[in-house]
Amino acid sequence: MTRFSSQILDDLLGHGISSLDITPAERSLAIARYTAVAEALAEHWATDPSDGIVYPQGSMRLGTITRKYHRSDEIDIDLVARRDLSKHVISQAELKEDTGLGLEKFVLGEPEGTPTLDEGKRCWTLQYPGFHLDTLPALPNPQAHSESAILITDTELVRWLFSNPIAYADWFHEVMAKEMEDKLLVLSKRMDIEQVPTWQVKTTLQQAVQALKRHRDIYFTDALELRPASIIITTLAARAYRGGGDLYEVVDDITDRMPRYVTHDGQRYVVLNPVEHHENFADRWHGKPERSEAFFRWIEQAKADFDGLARAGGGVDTVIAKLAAAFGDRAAVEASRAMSRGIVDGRGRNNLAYGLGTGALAVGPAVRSRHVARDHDFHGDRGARQ
Amino acid sequence: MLPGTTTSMATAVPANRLSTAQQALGLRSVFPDSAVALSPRRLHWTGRLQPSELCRRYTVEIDYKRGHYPKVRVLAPELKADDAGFLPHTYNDLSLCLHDAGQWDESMLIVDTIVPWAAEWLLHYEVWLATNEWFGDHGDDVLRPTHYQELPPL
Repeated sequence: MTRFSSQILDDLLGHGISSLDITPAERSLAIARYTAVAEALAEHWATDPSDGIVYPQGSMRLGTITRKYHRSDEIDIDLVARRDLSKHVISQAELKEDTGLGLEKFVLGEPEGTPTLDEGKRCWTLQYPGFHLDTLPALPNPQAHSESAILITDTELVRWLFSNPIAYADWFHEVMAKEMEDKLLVLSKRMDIEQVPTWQVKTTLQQAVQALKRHRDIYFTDALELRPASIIITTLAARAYRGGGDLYEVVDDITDRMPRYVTHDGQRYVVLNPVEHHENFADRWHGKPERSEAFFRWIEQAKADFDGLARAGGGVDTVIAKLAAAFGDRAAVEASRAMSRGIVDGRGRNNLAYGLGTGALAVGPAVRSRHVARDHDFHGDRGARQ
Repeated sequence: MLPGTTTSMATAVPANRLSTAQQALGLRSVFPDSAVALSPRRLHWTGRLQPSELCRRYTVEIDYKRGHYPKVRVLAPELKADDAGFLPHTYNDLSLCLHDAGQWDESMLIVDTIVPWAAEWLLHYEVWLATNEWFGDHGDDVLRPTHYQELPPL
């Protein structure tokens, strides 16, 4: 098989992945919504909302939000609602119930977006049109070394669960810090502003995680209960990541190397939480061999599907069809539109080149190429009808 | 008014009109493996275009008669119309619509205009095969050119 890196492939893949992401408008709306939740809970608890009692965790914090394929491309945003009490004065059930009470009062006040409230195993879900705010009740964990450590509840467990989503996100951002810094620098020069917010930039690691999560959601459409957890995919991808580069190459390399970071201690599979070494993210696989088998089967398929994207000479139409199979039809069409737009805009700016002896198109300077002399329009009768 | 000048811009011939030999030289220098047949009034070029590594490699012919727009056809692989027989941006003779009237004239090198425009057409065509949408046009904010069955004469 011919392996290559191509601007058009990276464009298709990059635009396909970004169509799965939260848009800037959705992001502002989500922040406005959870700020309102924070204020309502602060009032309920008679605390100061600036203490950071409600903050995003998970993909919102990691920059890896991926629309839910099985829920019409809706977005889930995970929040922590931390009540600053000791576990000696409040039980798990009381904390869960009390947080629910605060959220219920919030919903009854008919806030903007008119959310509804549902109870889950560990969290409360506020449903807004197009997105969910999953709110996780938590207490501080004063025994932990980290200030951001929390304790969370679970209706199926007696003991409090440890968690530290802030430390985990810090670890994830540290892994990709170099690429992020480079990309921010490029963007701030181009936009001529001093500070570009990090959420405006995506590293290839974040894009790889989004690609893998989406591929997983489609692969497990009919067996959602077997889906490997996002935290496992994110952790393995970050471990496999070797720095930035051409998007396709990085996604392919990460997918190839991920499985080797799943270890086995003789009894069970292990995917360690990088910031809480006593936590094994693969605990849920123990005694359920179908879950680990599903993971390894899926990652093989993802690898094969991503490999298939780069088969040279088969036609962009076949690549788009493979993108649709891996990421969904909407992502494939959005990717096609944006890639084509890049070519059209490139020629409009008088910045399109074609390759010597091939006619291969490239926006911007390219090796062994000539400049396309001028802009034009495809006109004609929109096609012959026979 | 000097004899021999004309007031009609529509029939003006560009001062630096290129000969078929100059056009052939341009094509051959960029596509050394292509075939060019040449007479003073006519040029026929057959070459291979692959708009990206992902695309198929197409055999394309250009038939250029002095005083006319070059005609571009895809020889292989055969273009696929949709079930209704529709193929976007083509004329009834299945040659490709690559430009509006007035966007090309005989002062321009075919190799730097018609050829990359054909490559671009092929890329948008492959996208159309998958999506049933032609994304090769400028945005709607740009004035749409007239659509013709045939271009008016050069």
